[in-house]
Amino acid sequence: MKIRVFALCLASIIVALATYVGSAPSSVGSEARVPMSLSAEAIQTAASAAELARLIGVFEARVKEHTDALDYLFLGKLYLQRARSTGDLGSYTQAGAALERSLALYPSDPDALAALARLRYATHDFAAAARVAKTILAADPADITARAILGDASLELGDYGTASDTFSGLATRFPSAAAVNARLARLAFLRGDDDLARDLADRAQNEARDEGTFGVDLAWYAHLRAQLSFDRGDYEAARNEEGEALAVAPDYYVAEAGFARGAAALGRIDDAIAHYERAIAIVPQPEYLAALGDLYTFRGDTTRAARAYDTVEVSASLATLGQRLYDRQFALFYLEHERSLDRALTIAEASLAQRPDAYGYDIYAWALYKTGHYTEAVVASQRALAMGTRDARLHYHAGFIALAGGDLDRARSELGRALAIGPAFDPLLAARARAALALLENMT
Amino acid sequence: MRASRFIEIGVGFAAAAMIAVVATAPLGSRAADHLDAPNLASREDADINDVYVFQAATPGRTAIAVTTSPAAGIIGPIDYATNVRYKINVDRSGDAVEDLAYVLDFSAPSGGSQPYTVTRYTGVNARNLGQGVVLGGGMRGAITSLKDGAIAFAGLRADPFFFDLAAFRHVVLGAANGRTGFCDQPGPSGIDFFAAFNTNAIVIEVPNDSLSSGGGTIGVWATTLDRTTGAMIDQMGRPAINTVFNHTSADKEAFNVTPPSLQPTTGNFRSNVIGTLEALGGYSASAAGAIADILLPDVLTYTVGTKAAGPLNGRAPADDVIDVELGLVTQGAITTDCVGPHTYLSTFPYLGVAH
Repeated sequence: MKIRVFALCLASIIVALATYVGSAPSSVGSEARVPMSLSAEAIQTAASAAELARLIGVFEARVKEHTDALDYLFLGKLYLQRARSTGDLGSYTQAGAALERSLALYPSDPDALAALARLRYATHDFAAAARVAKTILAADPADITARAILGDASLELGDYGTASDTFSGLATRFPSAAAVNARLARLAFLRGDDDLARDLADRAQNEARDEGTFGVDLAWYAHLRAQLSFDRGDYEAARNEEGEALAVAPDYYVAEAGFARGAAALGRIDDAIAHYERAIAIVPQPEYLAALGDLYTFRGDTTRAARAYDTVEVSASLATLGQRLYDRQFALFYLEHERSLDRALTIAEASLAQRPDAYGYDIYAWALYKTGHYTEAVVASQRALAMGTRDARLHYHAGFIALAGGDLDRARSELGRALAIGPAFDPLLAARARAALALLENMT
Repeated sequence: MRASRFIEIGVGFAAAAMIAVVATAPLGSRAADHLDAPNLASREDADINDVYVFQAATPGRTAIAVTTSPAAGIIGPIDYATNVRYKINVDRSGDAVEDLAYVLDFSAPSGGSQPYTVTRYTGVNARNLGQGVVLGGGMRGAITSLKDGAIAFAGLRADPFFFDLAAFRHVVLGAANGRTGFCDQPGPSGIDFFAAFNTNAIVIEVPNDSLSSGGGTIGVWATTLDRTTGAMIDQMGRPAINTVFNHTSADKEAFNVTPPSLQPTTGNFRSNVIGTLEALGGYSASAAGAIADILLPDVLTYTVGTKAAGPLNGRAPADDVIDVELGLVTQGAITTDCVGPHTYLSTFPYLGVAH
């Protein structure tokens, strides 16, 4: 009991200290983001974006002129592509409407069902995505598209066994397919095998190029490598790889945000802010807004920080698809900024129920911790780390949760691991972890 | 073979930003839709849509066109592959083995264009692509003059193909997709799924004597090859053969990589043709066999110097090969899909400007 209370006090001191310590000025000047002349890949990306817009117009007109399942299906897929490449959530709604029309005319169409499954997946209804994929597979067990969707949905549902079996099966059949190796890379990362993840992701990008992949699809492979680099603590590589993604698709918002995150980790705060602003201009995701606010906080610009945080609050109150898609982002924002903690717990609990993967357990664990449920937090945190995923934030959470529970040894090792994996995984949190560790080390 | 890409475009997903974004790219099978081989899916830029051979605008010359990259710009890229060789095969001796070939090789794209070379191979070199004669080169998007009176074009054009795919899926494949037949629409036309797409087109035009002296019959087909290994990626002669007659993924994949000269005697191809003709056209086994002997090997047979009449004498862009094939396959029960040609150019490169 005493130790736990002491540990809690320690935690709050650490937070206060770290925030103060963390406000050191830094940053190099901004640098040119993308060369003035477009790469060949970027030219292709722009052409395909224009073609997408054109064909959406064409097929919108066609479905007014005649009623045909195939035209509705193709339109639905065009909307899905638009949602994917621009982040426009309204396109998901439009895709749903088009696919609904298509399926009304042709209910058993495996291609329309596959598109529907992808839509469900993209809008985070993973159980529905898995269900629809299984419907397709019941009629045709050899349907590769459905098999992949089932694997993807299983992964998000925390059913790593099914995901692994599915992806391995696909890999046996398609040993050099970029899309398969990218999935295997993700799985390897979740299982804590960072070297394998990196190798697979590198392979996947080369294969994607060789397969003639273009546009945002191609940029995505560089982004995958960047994410893995960031999680490994290689921030220079992360930034460069996001730069590669942007060289292929200059408006790819996830690469902009990833570039910002890498820049922040390298202490290039101005650069990071500029790139987050750009990402937010395209898609104002809570995670980007929160990160921007944190960077302003880090810099001591409380006005701009407050503005960014307020924007998150406002968007959280909109009853849109965004609430569901960004549920964990909202929860994490509330928890890290000590706002609406009970609401965060409700969100985290619901998110975990609907999607019991490692990260669901992690956000639930953190919400439990912040609302004082330390014992349950320990259990949830352990579930989050069960596969050995080498993610600094998971260990950071585990460290503070252990501290609250009075387990100082574990707190020390988890915080140490967090920083070993990602020494700058978050501009504010890495400093807190460092401060906590310093104090813990002085206590032995 | 014209591919199923129209039904399948790469769609990725964004997960919650807290975890890494996991998107997907087009994977393997398109088996249920446009009926092409699953293993082709990841190489849209090596996917052959159609092959044409027809009289050029100038007398005494012949045009050969090969379109690749379905729905170029959306499903397939606009850039040609640099690790693929695009090959036009010509058989002049009647054995369905190429003794003349034109091969296009593309270099890296830059500034919205791409350089390429055209090489001609003859005799045994047409098969093994050993010694060839470089006829010249050009830039994507522009007409270029080559040696020996040849001209070439490679680049984005309006897809010349026209077809009511949805009605086909109902009528021929039994899909319960809300269509009731060809020509089931309120007006006179069917629904041309391909009306608005673009494609990458390779068009060459040569003097007739380059193909055959004295107005002989040639066989023309296209293949795409892996530049490093030489392995075949896709193949096509006449329209829709693989689509209509081969029903399993395995057969479709195999057909795409079986040289035409071997098609009549290997795999299930001949029996597939016969079976389909018997089922859809009520042909007797012997009649079906006779037709199978025309359709396999799958090459576009063409009498040089004559007006094309696809698919049995070359193929011009405006030829309604679907109507002819429907009539053939159903033994006259169905003779049209009520979808007519697009507009084309009367001069080289003959295919319309990109949409």
